[in-house]
Amino acid sequence: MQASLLRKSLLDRWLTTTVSTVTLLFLALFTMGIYSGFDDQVGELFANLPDALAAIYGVQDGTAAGLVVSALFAVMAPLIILAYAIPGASAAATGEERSSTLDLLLMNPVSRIRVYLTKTAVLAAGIVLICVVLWLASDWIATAVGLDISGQDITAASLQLAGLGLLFAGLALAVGGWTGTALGATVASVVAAVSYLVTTLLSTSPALAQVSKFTPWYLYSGNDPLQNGVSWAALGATLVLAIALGAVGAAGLNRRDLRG
Amino acid sequence: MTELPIRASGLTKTFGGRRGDPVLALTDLDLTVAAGEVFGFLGPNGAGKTTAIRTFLNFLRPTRGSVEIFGLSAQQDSVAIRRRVGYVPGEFEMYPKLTGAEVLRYFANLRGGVDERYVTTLADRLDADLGKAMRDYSTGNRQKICLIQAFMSRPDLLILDEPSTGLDPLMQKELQSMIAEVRGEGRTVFLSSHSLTEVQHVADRVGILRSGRLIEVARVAELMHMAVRQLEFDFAASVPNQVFERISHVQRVAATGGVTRVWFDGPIADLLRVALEHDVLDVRSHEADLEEIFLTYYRESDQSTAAQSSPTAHADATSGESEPAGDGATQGNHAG
Repeated sequence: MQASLLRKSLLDRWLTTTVSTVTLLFLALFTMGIYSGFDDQVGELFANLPDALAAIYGVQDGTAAGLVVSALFAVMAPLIILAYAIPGASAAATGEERSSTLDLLLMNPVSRIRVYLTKTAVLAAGIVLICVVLWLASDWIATAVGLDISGQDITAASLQLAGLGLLFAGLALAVGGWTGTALGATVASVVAAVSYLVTTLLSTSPALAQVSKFTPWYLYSGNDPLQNGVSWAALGATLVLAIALGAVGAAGLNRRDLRG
Repeated sequence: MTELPIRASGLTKTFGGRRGDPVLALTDLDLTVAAGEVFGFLGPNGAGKTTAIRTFLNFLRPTRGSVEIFGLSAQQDSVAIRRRVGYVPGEFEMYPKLTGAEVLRYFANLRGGVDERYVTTLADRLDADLGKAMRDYSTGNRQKICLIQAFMSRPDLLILDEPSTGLDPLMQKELQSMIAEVRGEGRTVFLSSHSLTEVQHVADRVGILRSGRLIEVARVAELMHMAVRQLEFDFAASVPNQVFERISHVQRVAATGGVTRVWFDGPIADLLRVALEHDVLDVRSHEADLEEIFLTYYRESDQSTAAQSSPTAHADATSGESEPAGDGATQGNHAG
């Protein structure tokens, strides 16, 4: 009987998962295709941008390959992942409640926590799946368009990207679990936007760089995974935080009244 | 089966409280429902019926008190309880993209042990079309799907919150038959409604909820005895209202020419004796129903809280009768 809940949760998410994956693949193909035609002078032009602008665009080095991969993982991929993860987490925590279908669902022998965990697990699997596809496709697309990305650690960036998605999904779950409203999505979105700006902009200032280390975004990009590989400490902290936030949401859901 | 299907003890539910005054939705509800009975749970909108039901089912956490369903704690054993309970909520939505059949299959798979042939039988009885997407159903047809999902597992306890919403009279009759069959099989029905006629025909006992408090629990037959009844006399000549107003248990008298209607809630002997002192041409008795007793409870409540602003007008409104102006309707002494 739990298989039915899992199957329904998968069916509910397949379309969004597919659209997010295809969108990300399209963006990867599009950006890599465009940048592959640039020579290194263009790369140098971007590399000479003011620090703050370069940080926002995710410019890491002066090569075209470095530029495109940096831009993809600094801005576009996180945007897609968060656009998938945050509303998905909000729906996992409160979707059935907000659409008034929860009472009838829970009249079957299944607990509210079981519903929450199943939907959250499906969402987490979706986040990981999208990142795995991006990881595999980046290599393939780069080869196809003749872009040399051998110096970039796509695996590390993909892993930490999945962590980023899970972390903000956890935040949306935590707030949603306690409030039963869409506030979780709002809070997670605002925190993501602010922490992105704080991390990218403050990191360019020697005086304020330390502050940027206290944002969730820093766990994703602080160690520059494309250049330096996986930071297992950052990834571990991200996953622990994500799980802890998910548990907070479950505790809130278990404790409060459900709206009819 | 020795466990009581429902036992609520001191059940209290308060909403809000952090900002502004807390709202007391349910106060010290003590209630037991026996196996094999149909229990009618009556009260107007906002009385706390749905709050009580949603607390029984662990959707709401009680502020105080406890609920046991079949001897199991509503909070600790909710999953085990749900295996034995079917539920029709007062308000609900179903997955709009799924068809009726898909919704029922989903719930049947979650529940397990549902006989598909019985689902078909229920759909036939309720004349439900299972092939349409939920978003395309009318309110009544959506209600039929909800009723099927509640009945399809033959649960030991059915909790029905306003189950006839949107159903046409034929389907309401069919639903009453289905409820009677459930009782006939020794299963239990907890029927919440503000449609008193619906409850009157199927319930063994009723509880009346007012402003979150259970103010009466009685067998339907007892309530009928307590209900306000009406006798209508045709006299050869008009008889002054005061003749009847002096009689104990007479609640109200209305006269138009030689026709006098008397509402009373006690023994009939004194009333008949006085009437026969006059030239009675004919007499008609109007069947009492729960509506009268139910509204009497509310009239009493309103009178105690609304400074008795317009007792005559209120009595007319609550009795369900429409009196022509100037026909001599007056309040009798309330001896009940």
